[in-house]
Amino acid sequence: MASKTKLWSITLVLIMILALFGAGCTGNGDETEGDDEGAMEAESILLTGSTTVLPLAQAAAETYMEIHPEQSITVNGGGSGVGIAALIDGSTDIAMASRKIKDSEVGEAEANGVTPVEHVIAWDGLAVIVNPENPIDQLTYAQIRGIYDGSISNWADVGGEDMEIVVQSRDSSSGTYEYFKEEILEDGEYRQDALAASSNGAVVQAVAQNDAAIGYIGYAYLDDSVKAVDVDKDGTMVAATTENILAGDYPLSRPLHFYTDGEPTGLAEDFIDFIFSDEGTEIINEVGYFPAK
Amino acid sequence: MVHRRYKEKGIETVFFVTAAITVLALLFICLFLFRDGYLLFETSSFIDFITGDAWYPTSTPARFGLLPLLFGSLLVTAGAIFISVPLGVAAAIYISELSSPRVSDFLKPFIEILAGIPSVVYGFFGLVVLVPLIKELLGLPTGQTALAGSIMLSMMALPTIISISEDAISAVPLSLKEGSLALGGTQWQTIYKVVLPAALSGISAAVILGIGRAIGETMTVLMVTGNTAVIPGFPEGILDPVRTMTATIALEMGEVPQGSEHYHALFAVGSVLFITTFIINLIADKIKKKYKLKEGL
Amino acid sequence: MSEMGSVDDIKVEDLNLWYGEKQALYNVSMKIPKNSVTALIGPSGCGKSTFLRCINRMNDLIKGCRIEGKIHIDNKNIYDRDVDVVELRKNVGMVFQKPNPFPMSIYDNIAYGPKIHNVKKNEIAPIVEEALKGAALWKEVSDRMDTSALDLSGGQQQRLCIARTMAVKPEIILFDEPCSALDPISTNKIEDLILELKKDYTIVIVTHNMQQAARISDYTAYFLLGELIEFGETKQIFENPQEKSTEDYITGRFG
Repeated sequence: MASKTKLWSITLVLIMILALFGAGCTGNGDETEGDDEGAMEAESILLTGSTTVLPLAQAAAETYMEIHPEQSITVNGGGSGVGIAALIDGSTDIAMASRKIKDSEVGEAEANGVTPVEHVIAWDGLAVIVNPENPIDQLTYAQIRGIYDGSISNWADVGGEDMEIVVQSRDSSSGTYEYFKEEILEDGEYRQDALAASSNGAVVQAVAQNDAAIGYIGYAYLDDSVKAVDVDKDGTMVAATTENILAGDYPLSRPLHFYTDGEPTGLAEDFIDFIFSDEGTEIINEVGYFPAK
Repeated sequence: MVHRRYKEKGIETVFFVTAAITVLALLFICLFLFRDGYLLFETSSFIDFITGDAWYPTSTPARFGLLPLLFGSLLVTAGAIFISVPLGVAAAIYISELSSPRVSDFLKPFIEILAGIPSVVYGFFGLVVLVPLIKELLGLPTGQTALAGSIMLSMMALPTIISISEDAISAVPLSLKEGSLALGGTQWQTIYKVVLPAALSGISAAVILGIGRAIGETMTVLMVTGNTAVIPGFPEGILDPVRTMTATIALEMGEVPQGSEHYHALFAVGSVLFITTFIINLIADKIKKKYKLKEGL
Repeated sequence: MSEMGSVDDIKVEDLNLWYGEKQALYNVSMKIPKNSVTALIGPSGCGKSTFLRCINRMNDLIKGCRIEGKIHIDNKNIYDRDVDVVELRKNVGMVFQKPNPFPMSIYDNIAYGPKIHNVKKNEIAPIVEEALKGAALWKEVSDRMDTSALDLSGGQQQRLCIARTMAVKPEIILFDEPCSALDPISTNKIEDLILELKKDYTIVIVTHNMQQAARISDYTAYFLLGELIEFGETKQIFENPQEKSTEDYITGRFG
């Protein structure tokens, strides 16, 4: 009787060990196959990088594969930095990036025999948002910079009510954070006491429920719970609207990139062409970005 | 006869191997954690890490200062202990000594259910309900504070503290309580002067387990503490935003290039987190032993 | 408490007790004289311990326990509504079957009673010494008052419990089979102690050891199945029992 119980316990333990091993052995990432001349042959490619570009690449890939079911496109996140690093060491076919490749990264690539080629596939708008109760409707670049670098701390200093400004930012691994830093802070440093949210959604939530808060988000995340301010870069106030972004008038818009090693061929080339097509444009709009002109 | 001996030996070996695998796995995790963390100091100064007061990992030059994160974690955890221990022990006393059986039969499983709620759910509740509430009630610029983190962590540690403390208190022999009552002690005096001291080793175990959960908590603190990497004042920093070590790793690990300096810095933070938890457990063990001796067990 | 009681320190009148639906004591009446040792004997489950615990209302702690009848101590029914149970238990001490010292130092154990009854700190030490002397333990522990009470031997622990009870200066001390967990030498010491104590206290002792009852008690009560069968002077009970049942128990025909 006692040995029967022991037998059961051993079996259970062995099953658990096997399960653990099995779980650890899930495959990760596809190997890229060699480029083909004939685009009609079944290929698979891998895209890696920016989580901003990812929803767009994902939607486009799904639609593309519905049309060409024999092709396989896999999209991974990890961030712009991760994507570019993967391109440099040859582990991805296309790097997605919400920022421009750095000079240092270009240098590393060339040292590895990789030639990064840039494709601007869409544009993303950045909205600076405040609480709907906030009387402020417009801010200049200089004011926004002051708020975010720590030199301005009270709404009264920019024409608003006498309230301490609650500065909502993103975590440092966000492409949006990087872009904002470059464009508004001119590569200066964010104030140390800025709050860091982990996503666009969290920023919206925080600004919507705090009348003293200010934040920045991807344009696609704008909704009625917050208010986007007009932004002035060189003397004119421009509202954050789809028209202004498409017309190129809104200063806070950034290009979204694909990077390839040399000119793209085969499935990679076809996929990029697809994104530039009408169908691709439709997808870009649906996801909430703006087509490259 | 011999066959049986081999069987016994075989079973022993299987269990030994399982135990060994567990220990080895843990050891490997430690090793990789420390190794990847140590690699930071090949390019960055150890002193700057240990004493640095700013965390700007993606700037040029990058600054990896541990102190805001370490103190953030400690402050939030201290706040959680401050709230959850008295509440938890009081609730445990109520359930085991003062409430009628019907009430305690309902409360005990209910508390255990609370323990099973995922931390993201707590975090969501914290963000949507608690944070604005704190802002309103305390008139702060923002409710995203160490206090919000502490309160959420308390809610998560409470079920553990209550459950285990309640077990410890119930385990105090009836004879001790009777001894006190027979001397003319009131129920309160008996609880306070005899039962609680006798249950102290169990209660401290409960508290330690609760704290353990609190210190390692990631999602919840990430969503409600504001993640501001500034060294908090003590104790007034409880009303300011802070950033914990756990939130830092969660926020940044997803988008960091493997093998980069930032990557190693995060592992270094992870190592510190590990060491902190380890030290707390050591202290906890000592406290437990001290009380066990006092109980004469 | 006052010394205005009659010669009968404890007067029990028609005591009935139920645990839920089950009745455990049937119409028990007796008068226990002051400054004497009264032994309660009878086979297991006869209700003697239950009865003992009625005297200091320890049965109040048992859920579903119901009592009818009266117990008068110093001319006051202890089951009256306006009786303060805390004061009652200060006046009626109890020593349990298994020694139950608190996990504290010897000093703190004895000091516990006075402390919870608000005796001033500087008045406690002499009380502790007096109690330990009264329990014949002082000589053995006076040099290690700060050590844990749990380090004492079983017999010493029981004497500690007696000293602890004496420290609150009761009139009555109840003993519930105090020696059943002890060795013969410790048992001896405690029996001698009880004989000393009866000069100043009224003692009621439950024992399943008839020889013990015969040795140390002045009066004996014989219980069977929740009923008091016979009560009288010990000499009479053992040499000339009136009831057949008593005689059967004493001569060992059963129990």
